[in-house]
Amino acid sequence: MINNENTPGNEIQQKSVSEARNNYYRRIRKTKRVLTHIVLILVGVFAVFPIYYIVVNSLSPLASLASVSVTSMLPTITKLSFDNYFALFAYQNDSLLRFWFPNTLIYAGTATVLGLVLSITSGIGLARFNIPGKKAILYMLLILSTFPFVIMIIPYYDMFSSLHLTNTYWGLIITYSAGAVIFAAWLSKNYIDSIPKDFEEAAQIDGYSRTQALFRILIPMTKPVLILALLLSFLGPYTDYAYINIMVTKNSLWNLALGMYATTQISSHAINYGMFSAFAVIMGLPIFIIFLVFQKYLIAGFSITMYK
Amino acid sequence: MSTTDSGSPPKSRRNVLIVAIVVVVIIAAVAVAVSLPHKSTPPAAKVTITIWDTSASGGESAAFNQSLALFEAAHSNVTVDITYGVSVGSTNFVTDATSGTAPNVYRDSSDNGGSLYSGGLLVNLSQYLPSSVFSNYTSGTISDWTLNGAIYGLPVNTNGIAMYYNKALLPNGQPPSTLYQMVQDAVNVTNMGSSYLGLPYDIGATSGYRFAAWYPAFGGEIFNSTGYPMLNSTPDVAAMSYVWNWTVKYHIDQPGLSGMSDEQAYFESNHSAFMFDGPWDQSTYLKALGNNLGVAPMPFNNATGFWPQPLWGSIGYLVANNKASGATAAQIWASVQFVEEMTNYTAQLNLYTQAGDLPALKSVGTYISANPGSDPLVAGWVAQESHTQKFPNIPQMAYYWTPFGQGASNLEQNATGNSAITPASTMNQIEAAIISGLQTNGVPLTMVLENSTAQVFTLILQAGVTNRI
Amino acid sequence: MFRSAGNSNSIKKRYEWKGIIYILPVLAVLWFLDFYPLGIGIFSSLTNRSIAHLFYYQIVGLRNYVVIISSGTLLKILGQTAVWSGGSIVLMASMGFILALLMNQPGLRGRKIYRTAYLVPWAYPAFITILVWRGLLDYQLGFVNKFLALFGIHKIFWLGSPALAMFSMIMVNLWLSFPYYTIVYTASLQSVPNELYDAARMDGYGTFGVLGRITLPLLKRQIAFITVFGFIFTWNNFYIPYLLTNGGPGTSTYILVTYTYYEQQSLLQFGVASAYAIVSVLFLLVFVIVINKYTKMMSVLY
Repeated sequence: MINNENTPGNEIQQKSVSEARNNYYRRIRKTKRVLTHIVLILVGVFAVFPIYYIVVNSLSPLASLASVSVTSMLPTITKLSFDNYFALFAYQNDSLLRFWFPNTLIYAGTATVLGLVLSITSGIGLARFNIPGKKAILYMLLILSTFPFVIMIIPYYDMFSSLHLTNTYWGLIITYSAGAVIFAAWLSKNYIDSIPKDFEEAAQIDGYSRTQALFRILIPMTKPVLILALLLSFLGPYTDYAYINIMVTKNSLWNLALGMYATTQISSHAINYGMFSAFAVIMGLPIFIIFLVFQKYLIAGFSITMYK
Repeated sequence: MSTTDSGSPPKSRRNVLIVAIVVVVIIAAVAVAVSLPHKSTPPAAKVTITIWDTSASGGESAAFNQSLALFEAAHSNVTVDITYGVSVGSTNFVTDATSGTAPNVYRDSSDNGGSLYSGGLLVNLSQYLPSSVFSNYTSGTISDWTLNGAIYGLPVNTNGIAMYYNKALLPNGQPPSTLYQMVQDAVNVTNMGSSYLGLPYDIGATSGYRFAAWYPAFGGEIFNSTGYPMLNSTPDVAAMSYVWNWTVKYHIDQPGLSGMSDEQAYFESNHSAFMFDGPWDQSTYLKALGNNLGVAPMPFNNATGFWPQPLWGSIGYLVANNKASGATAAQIWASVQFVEEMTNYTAQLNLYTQAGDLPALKSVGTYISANPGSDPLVAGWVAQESHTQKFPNIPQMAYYWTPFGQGASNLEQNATGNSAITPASTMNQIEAAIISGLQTNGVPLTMVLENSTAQVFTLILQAGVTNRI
Repeated sequence: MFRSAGNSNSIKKRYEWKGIIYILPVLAVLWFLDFYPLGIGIFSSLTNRSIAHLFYYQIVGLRNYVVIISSGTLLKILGQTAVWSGGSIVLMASMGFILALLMNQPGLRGRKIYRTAYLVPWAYPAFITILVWRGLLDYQLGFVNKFLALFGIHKIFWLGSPALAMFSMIMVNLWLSFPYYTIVYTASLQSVPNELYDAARMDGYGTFGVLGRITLPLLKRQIAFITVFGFIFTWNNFYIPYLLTNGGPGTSTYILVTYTYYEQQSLLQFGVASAYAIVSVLFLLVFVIVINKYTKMMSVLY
């Protein structure tokens, strides 16, 4: 469906024939274009609708899921209400703002930074040095991605509880950064591979040591992949539920996902769907905006790291 | 370390150092984090006990805090360290216990407590408290907390399901007294219009808990006294066939209800007459139905002469033993004291008035029966309480839920199509799946109770047989 | 071992030992947080560690493996996992590739708007959107059934019947994942130099000609790599099966990851749970090795 015509080899024809043919191709092209747009628009609606749905729900006075209807999906300015948000902020003595949101930022932020430092250095090591067993390490990184995290739960728990790290910030941050490292190391290795060595070598001629050249010249050039890795590795800890649910019992250490599950599950039958929607918007929107702002890096990062 | 760098060696080494420092800093950070939680041991006279509180609603939390304040005022030498917002049946307790760091006291349900006790994590309270203490609680709730003759927790409330009904849809606003009459009432409601459904009842993935009430109505049970699954027995199959007839014979129920939320949608909008549910949803129904809401025991089965008996469970406090929590004798004594006071008269009365929890103490029950005043529905709950079954607290019970859900949803799924799936084949399949689950996980199929008469009998029989041979 | 080439290699390597410092932290992380726990996992799959044997558990050899195989549970869960990952990856990869082709047409208007719209499911945290979908797909109250009712379509039992629940899970996964595949395939399509396309068109190839002669052969390994690792990721995907149906109805939508979690967290059978997880890892390893043998896709790695 790539936009090009099935042009026959011999073009020199009588004028009238060629005009008819041009009309024919124009029609084909137009149909193709219209069909393309129809498909793309339908997919777009499919993609956007659930988010639209939750935003509209969060802004309307909803009693429960039962009061969601096809007509309530139409935006009506007159019924606009922020009650769900106020209810959410007040929920469980302002737990959202006092614990869940700050905790989530601490976990995800620290783990991402720590993970990125580790992965960019190892990316340099793997891309620029002929380290013995390099291939084995690359395979290892890949094989690790086939491990389901559930197998780690009990061993981690044993380890961390003997180190007194359960129910602490550090216990979570260490595991989260380990999760971020694997993919990010692999991404940055591939990205650095694609940067020519000329820059560092020029710097070395200018009197930098090799290490200096790597840190002062090369690292600034990896910004696109850093941002990509940052986005991808931030998201995991930000929405973790399964792991923190096991590692943490204190309410004051909960993250947003645990808080959300609690708000939606406690007396689940009488679930306050409006409050759930407000939670969904508050929790999702920051990530969403960051993604949209940095979206060009997603494509740039992938195209460079994938292209061989 | 030799290098091929063209730059000046000192600089290069410095930068290698930087990388090394990053490593050291990370390791140091971990080391500091490791060493931080170690606290100096408290002086001998003072005792600190750790508590995991699982109070669910706001009312329960308020009652907990009041009882806590009373305890702290009375015991100045005991410091109470509380973790709020833990959930019931949390695996954390088990995993913490593995490393000897479980809390001293946990508030959990009796069936979860049973599995913790059988894992050897809990104190047997009957070794610490005189039997006169236990006789203050209703025999039903104490039996919920009894396993192999040991009492591993003290109940703070008791709970289960009963029948909610909508007075506006019933003749004279009266609840049915027999199952036969209940079906007739439901047929009448269903005939009111296409949007009505007399008795929407989800036989599906999550209904094992509520469904258990129907086995005794036909003389059946989930596990027999040795812990062997009985779902393929004639009474249990009869129970499934009976409930299944609501859909296929009387059409007062429809297949395809997804969980309880659909039943509730019918009930709260005055489009169905009955709802089987626990006291925890009462406030929601009260808001929707107002004075038309009633609570009654699940109706008597006039065909068999048995009552339906919902699983009657209990929430209570349990104390971890030394192996699980590393507790000293003084800590365990303080914990037992704590548990006793958190479940005393004042505590349970508070819990009843503020959260509507049904009490486990006889004295509070007497008080409520004498003063029904504030809650006209409580009489229904009290009446249901005399027709209940013990919530099984044997380890085998954990293997009941998923097989039941699988079998029941297969049955419901094939309501219109596959006639090869019948209530009988469903129960057969459920029992087989339970047995397979038990075997796969190495749980003994029959658990001979310690010092039980059954065991003595078996031993005598075996001895007799061997002697003869 | 005594070849001169080996000698020159070892000399070359000696210069690069310094590089180890760079990867030391990551090696430490891999050891302490991945391989060491995995070792514990393998060990615990050989024991009867469970709530009944918490402090004093014994090594039972391969008993856990034998019983999960002989009871048929493993086979059933493995089958469900295969349907889930296979079904998902076929839909996700083909939808992503078709969208990438459509979006990659020169002169397409509104490309930026489309691209932003398609980013939405990926950019919004999955944890939330899965819960949103659970509400959307509710039988009586869900918006999807209410919407279908406008067209006179009877309510559909999206999450409550075994076959449809699996289908719904795959569709939700499609919604969540197609943006990723669209972006990744767009990236790889753009990596094909435009001159090649122009040359092919000069030679008179049509849309499908270009696709079959230029695009696919050039991107074969990349596509294999993306698809295979997409399959593995889906295989280990926890949140969709866990939050949408939690294995229900019954056990019909459990996959290996969620079933391991169930054994571990609900039944407290740590030994048996580990056996399920180890089987899952082994299966994927064999899968990657076999696929790699035929596609040589690993060559995109280095």
